[in-house]
Amino acid sequence: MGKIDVKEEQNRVFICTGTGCILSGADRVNAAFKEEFKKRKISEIDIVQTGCHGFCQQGPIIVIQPEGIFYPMVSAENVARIVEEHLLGGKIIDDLLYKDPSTGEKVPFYKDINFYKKQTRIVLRNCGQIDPEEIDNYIEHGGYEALKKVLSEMTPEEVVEEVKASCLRGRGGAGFPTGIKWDFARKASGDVKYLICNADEGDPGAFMDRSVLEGDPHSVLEGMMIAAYAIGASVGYIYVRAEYPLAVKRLKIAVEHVKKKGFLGKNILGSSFNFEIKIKEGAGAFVCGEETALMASIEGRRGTPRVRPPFPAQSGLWGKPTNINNVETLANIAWIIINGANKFAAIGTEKSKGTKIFAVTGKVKNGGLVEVPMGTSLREVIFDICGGVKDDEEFKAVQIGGPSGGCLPAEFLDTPIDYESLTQTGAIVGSGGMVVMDESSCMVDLARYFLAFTQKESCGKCVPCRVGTKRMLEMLQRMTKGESNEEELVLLENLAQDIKVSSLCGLGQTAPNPVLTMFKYFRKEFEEHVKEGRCRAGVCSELIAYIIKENICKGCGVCKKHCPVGAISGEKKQPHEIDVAKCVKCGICMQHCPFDAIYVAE
Amino acid sequence: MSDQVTVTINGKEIKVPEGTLIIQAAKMAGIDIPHLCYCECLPSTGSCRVCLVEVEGGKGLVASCAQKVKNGMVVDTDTEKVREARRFVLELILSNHPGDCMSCDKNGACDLQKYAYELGIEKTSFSMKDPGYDVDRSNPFIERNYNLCILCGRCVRICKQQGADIIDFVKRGMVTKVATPMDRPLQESGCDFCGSCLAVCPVGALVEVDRRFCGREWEMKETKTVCSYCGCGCELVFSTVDGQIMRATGEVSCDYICSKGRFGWDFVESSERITKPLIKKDGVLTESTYEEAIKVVAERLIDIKKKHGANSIGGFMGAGNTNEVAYLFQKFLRAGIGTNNIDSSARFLGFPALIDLYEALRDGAVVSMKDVEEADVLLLVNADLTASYPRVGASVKKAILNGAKVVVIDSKKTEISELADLHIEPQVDSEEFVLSGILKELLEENLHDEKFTKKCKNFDEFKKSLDGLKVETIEKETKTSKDFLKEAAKLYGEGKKTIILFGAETVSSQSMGLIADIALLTGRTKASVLPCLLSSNLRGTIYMGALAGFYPGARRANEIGNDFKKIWERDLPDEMGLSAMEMVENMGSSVLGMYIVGADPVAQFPNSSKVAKAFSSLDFLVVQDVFLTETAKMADVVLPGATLAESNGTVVNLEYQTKEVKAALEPLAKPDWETIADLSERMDYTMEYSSEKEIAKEIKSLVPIPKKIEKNTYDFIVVKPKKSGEEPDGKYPYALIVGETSFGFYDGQRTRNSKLSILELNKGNYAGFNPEDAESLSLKEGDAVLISSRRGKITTSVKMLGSLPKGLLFMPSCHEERGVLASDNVDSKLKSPQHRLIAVSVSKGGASK
Ligand SMILES: Cc1cc2nc3c(=O)[nH]c(=O)nc-3n(C[C@H](O)[C@H](O)[C@H](O)COP(=O)(O)O)c2cc1C
Ligand code: SF4
Ligand code: SF4
Ligand code: SF4
Ligand code: FES
Repeated sequence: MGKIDVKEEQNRVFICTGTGCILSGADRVNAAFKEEFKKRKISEIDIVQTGCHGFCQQGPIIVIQPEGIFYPMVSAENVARIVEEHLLGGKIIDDLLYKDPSTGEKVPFYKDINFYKKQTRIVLRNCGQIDPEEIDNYIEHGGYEALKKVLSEMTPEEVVEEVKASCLRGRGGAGFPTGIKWDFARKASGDVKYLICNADEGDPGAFMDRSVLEGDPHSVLEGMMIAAYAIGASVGYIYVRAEYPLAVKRLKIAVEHVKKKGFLGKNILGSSFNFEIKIKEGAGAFVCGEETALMASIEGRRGTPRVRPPFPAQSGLWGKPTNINNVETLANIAWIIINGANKFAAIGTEKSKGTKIFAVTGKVKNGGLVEVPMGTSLREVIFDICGGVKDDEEFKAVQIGGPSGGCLPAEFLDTPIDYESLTQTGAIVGSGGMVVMDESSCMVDLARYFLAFTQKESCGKCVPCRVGTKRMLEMLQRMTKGESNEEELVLLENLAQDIKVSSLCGLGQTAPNPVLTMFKYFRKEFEEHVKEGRCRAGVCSELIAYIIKENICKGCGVCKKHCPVGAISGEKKQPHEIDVAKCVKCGICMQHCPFDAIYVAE
Repeated sequence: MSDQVTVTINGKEIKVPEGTLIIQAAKMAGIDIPHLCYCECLPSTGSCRVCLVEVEGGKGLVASCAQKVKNGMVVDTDTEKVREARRFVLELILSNHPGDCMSCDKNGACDLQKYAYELGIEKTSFSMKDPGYDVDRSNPFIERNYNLCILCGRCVRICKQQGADIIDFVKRGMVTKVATPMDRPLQESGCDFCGSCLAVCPVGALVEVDRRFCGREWEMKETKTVCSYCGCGCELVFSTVDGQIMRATGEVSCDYICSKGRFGWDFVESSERITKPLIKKDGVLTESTYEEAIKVVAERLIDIKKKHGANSIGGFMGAGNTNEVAYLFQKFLRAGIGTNNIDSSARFLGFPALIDLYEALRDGAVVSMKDVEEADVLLLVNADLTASYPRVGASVKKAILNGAKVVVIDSKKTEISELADLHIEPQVDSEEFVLSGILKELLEENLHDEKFTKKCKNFDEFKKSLDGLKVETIEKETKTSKDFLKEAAKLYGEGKKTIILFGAETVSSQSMGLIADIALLTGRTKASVLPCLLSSNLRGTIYMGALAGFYPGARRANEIGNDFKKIWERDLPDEMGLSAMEMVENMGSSVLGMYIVGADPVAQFPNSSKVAKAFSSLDFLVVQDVFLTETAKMADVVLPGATLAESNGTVVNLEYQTKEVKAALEPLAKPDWETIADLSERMDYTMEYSSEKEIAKEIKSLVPIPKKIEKNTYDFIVVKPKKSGEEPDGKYPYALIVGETSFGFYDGQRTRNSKLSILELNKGNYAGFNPEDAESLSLKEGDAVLISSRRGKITTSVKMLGSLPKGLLFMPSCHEERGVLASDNVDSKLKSPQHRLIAVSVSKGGASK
């Protein structure tokens, strides 16, 4: 790479300070820059701490503006070079650039990276582009224009109509049309109404909401204000996980700033609209993300779901009409108001409009936050954007929607991501967790993992979920240990179906989804565990032992050759032996032995 | 009326009110939907999922206990899908249940067992497990075995509903459990021991300790009767097996009854009970036969009457007997012996000032618990409701849940005052000034009902008297700013349905007058004042004439005409009759023989050492009681009495409702009425009744139950407020108040002989101190302390009570020695002592009992 044009504009260093990058050392990089600047007495170059860029696997991430040069995996040791060579020398540092995993080519510009190129960033429009702790930064990027427009030009009815026309659906999991929900709340009679922002994000592996809160908290606040205006709420709550300290901190700063600007309080922007926002830190139980449990928790009661109806719009927080929306849902609102419902509705599929953020993790090359138009295929997300399976292993499955979602095999890779299509497969869009798996993942073990999670997180109120998931878990545990039988496979499936229909809340009603989809698409693997005591992924090592019969073994060495973990030893023509400690019970040796000398011992 | 909607359940079309739950609608259609977590008296949670039904057009199954009907709804409660889901849920529950039905007391009455059977679950598809919790047997009332718990949450909800709110779910997932804070034993968690939780538990997780292994559900005989404790007169159902009580419950399982009702009946089975008549021989009470005892009593009384005249004999009874016994007792004295010297504990518990109040208000003083629950403003005067009349307390708490505003006037804090909107804590003994102040404020704020007061003859006189009372005087006496009184007046005056509640035994007779005035001034003459009564048959005892000066029907002794003479076939005495304290005054001189039924004057009357001396100067004393009381110990003859659990008859509760008492057990000796009748026979005054029913018939012919009398003219009661108790002074610087406690009752006779007594420090033999007072006296909890009054001194132990203001001491009314300190100064109207406030001095030390 040669020299780049020296622009009029002064350089700025964007350091990502999202949780992901901080964990990989962004703070140290930040300190190193400051140190370096001090040493060299540089004062004209700004260091901007931004929110998450979504490309967390590549953290800590640095972007040098205005050109938008992207440096991934920066360490404190690299800082001196970046200052010396790039900032002062105006030279792009080749060996620090991002290398495209599929082409092997260096990609200097942020916008050219495949990971970003194929995304459509509406919710994440400001993430990584602004300092989330500076309200003016947000305003410079067009922030609070939507609020001004709504308060000065639109009636609440018109706002509701606009959101209805956008066909935005709730991003918290259920996908209920947001405009219709607002309409219920607006029409509900009551002197006091509440608005709640659900920032509990309890799905293991999901971090979309966290990144939005950390990277662009004002977009959520602005969405809340518009929603409150539309439904007639005077008080808003943000229920945020206490395990998100950075998000909590940035929200608090944002609320303080907004108050100072006069966007919160009485007669906002000279209108008759009054609104205040309170931040409530949740205790971290997954079920507290369920709306009725969440409201109980805000009221200071034990966070357990209750039967609906009545829905929150009729009787919510403290019995008052309440509208509750997810972080991502709300972060869409200002964009819709400014750009118009039509523009939003032009993105996506017939019934699923706009974009959706996914948190892609697991065996994938470039994991992170990905915002794509609804209707994008799984393949595009996993292979085009995220670069495919790590180490170019075989793709086995993708788990979508966390503990409430499903697990899909390769034949569904071309399924478009939208509410209807995914539901048809047995999975769900859910909150947007996406875990990619290769052949080293065992489906039975994965099912066990999800059930262990739901069982632990079940609020304990209703029988099917409390006891049923425990029984499912026990069966799966037995399967991973080879203590199960075929009858239990049938029982497990029935149990899963019964829990789905009879549980009280969404947690129990969806808890069997992972197992049911795995049953549907990977049944053979379950049967192998139960009938043959075999785990092809070699994960369930507590399964029965493989033993070579000394008297039958001819010492041909075929098994030794095929064993993936080198657990078999023996001289040619001598009886071979399997090292029980090393053996992962994949059963490959038995399949290959030409003399049937290998048997399974209980 | 709410609108009706039409629903079809299992093909049957019915109309039900809008807002009805599906499960209720089904019940109306005669269809019983299985349910475990649902309970009619509690808010639904829809958590057990047993009541699932199919609703046409709906997604999946719905919990019928948590979903309301809609017009045109079509519900199926018994499809294969529904049954399968139910069976599934039950199997899951059973998979976590020990299944030891053989040794479970709920066998036969367990809902889980019932539904498992109905759905034909032979064996669960999952293995049966025992969660392995330790069984809590640390209290003698409620055994908690959470291995059997199905987490239906009924106990949690009812505990919240009745106001204690000490249990909740803890943890999540499979390890979810019901527990107190920090999982401490109930007795250390502020449990009221009302036992509501065990009444609603559908399985064997919570059971009465008393019944464990003592009898099977189907062997039990149920008897519906009335609680023998306070004036609420709760209906109780005793379940007995082989003449032993297994448990007491409310009429409907979730009806509130308090700890005394639920667990306090065990005194009935105490080994201390008197089972045989006793005759004093050489100073020692010796067992004898019934015939001999009756003979001795009759001879001695005849002898005294012959020598000294009928008026040398007197009778006194408690206020917890049936109407029939009270009637017969006074008839025996008045007609049989020929004296009007008949009195009862009613005199010490607010009568006859209450008679004046009833006359002043009529219907206004007839208030039901339901009225209380529906009220929007409640004014409480000196009433520790939850301790003294717990059922009324529960109603007030319900009213608060329904949004009622509460004003409390009480110098000390109570459970209700902590929930109140306004708590006026006046200087001790200044309630009359507070009430007068509220009257003044009502007038000043124009909250009085002018149209009504115009009709009252003496309104001007009343107003003039109030005008004569200066606000400064009120503020000085009460040490309370008039702003509070104004706020109270506003709250009360602006209410729609208001009720004033007061403790009949805790307010002065003048206060009762002022309370009537407050109701009248605002024109509230219907169900507006509820005198709370302590004994189970106070109203009945009075109405039966067991009160000096009054004949049956509350007719004054000097205005009885000829009715009684005719039916009783005897000439009746001309004198009004001596009241209890007058009899005591005259013992040894003009009063020489006494007959006591179900009361312990020697321990109970104020200035008890003087009372004991008086009783010892009698020529003859006969006591009929269930325990060997202090009085009985002094008696010449003791006759075994019967408890209410062994009696038949009627009582009248504080709502003015007549309730039927039915014997759950055979009396140990004889029913009380029979003993009185036998004695009467022996004294040649025939009382031929085959049963208490015949007595009731006679009562009816004499004093027909009064119809509600509409009153047209009302008069104010003009009162000049004063302090009625003993003023503390330099020598006796503290004021001591006697009152009820949660687990003690009245004279303690019964609770002392009940397991309940373990829940009171020292069985209630303590004195409560404000912690600051205690500190200034260098007293610690449990220290021995010497308390002296002008009458005598006692040694007792110290208990810290943060609810007391400085300078005020508290003594449980069940304290064995409470009579020693009390003053016997007599209130002119009550003719009974104002023994509520006693000036005392305190010093550390002395050997505590
Ligand atoms: C067990 C459970 C957990 C949930 N957790 C979350 C959560 O963490 N965040 C969220 O926004 N919605 C969560 N939901 C969905 C909420 O109940 C609710 O539908 C959502 O907040 C509505 O917002 P939306 O309409 O904007 O999607 C959860 C639901 C269930 C059943
Ligand atoms: S389904 Fe699970 S989380 Fe939901 S109410 Fe039932 S027990 Fe609680
Ligand atoms: S103890 Fe009884 S009432 Fe309480 S939750 Fe358990 S089963 Fe229900
Ligand atoms: S409230 Fe009174 S009558 Fe009712 S159970 Fe308790 S003591 Fe008995
Ligand atoms: S009875 Fe309806 S869910 Fe339990």
